[in-house]
Amino acid sequence: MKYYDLTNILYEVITEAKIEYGVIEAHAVGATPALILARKDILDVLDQFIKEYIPVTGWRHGNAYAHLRSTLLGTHQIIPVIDGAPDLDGLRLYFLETRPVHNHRRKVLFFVHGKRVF
Amino acid sequence: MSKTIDIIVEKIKIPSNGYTAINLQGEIERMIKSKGLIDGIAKLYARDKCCLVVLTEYEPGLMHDLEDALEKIEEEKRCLVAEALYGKNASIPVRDGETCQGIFKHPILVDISREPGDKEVVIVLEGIFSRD
Repeated sequence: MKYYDLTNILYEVITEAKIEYGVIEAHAVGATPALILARKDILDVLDQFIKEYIPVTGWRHGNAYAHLRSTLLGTHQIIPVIDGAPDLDGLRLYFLETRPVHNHRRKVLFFVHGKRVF
Repeated sequence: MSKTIDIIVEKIKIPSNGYTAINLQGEIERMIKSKGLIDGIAKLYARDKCCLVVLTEYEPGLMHDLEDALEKIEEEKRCLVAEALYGKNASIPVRDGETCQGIFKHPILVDISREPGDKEVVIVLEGIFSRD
């Protein structure tokens, strides 16, 4: 699985929206990716767990492992915004590509709502 | 036609045989249209015990695969562990009156309670609504 760190984009979206207090929701479009909030140093452990619980082979549906990994981990995250920044406390927002793809353009939607900075 | 920011919370009842997976995409689309949500978020929450809401492709083979994955969990604790692992809620972005989570990804009510009857799902629509 490939992990793409979207944390910097999260900051950019909040800054652009000029929100001081509120919430930001991130949604990964598609039925096989995942979005997670995690510390960088646990990615190996998480990766190992997912691969053991949902192996690549042994399913009926063609790319079932990618769907099931996406279903298990989820495709959206909700993060509070405090003082104009995501309240992450050391966590980072990762986009997970659960299957091998090349030159594939993925879409993540962000919704920000809250009190604006005037 | 005016536009307003609003939030609508409704409960719907879904008939279930107690061990099944039910596609809720149609319910969500109907509610988005009837309430006039243009841009925002649709949220779903399964209130009943041993009921999950997951986002995935609603295809028979994949539903069997999901069942197999759930059966890897020790039977005695399956309901509670499944609720914690897979979740009881889903959130779907809405743009221009349409859901936009991806063509194949639908909200699925997974009922593993083995108790037939109506299952309650809370639907929350939040965002910009059109008002006639």
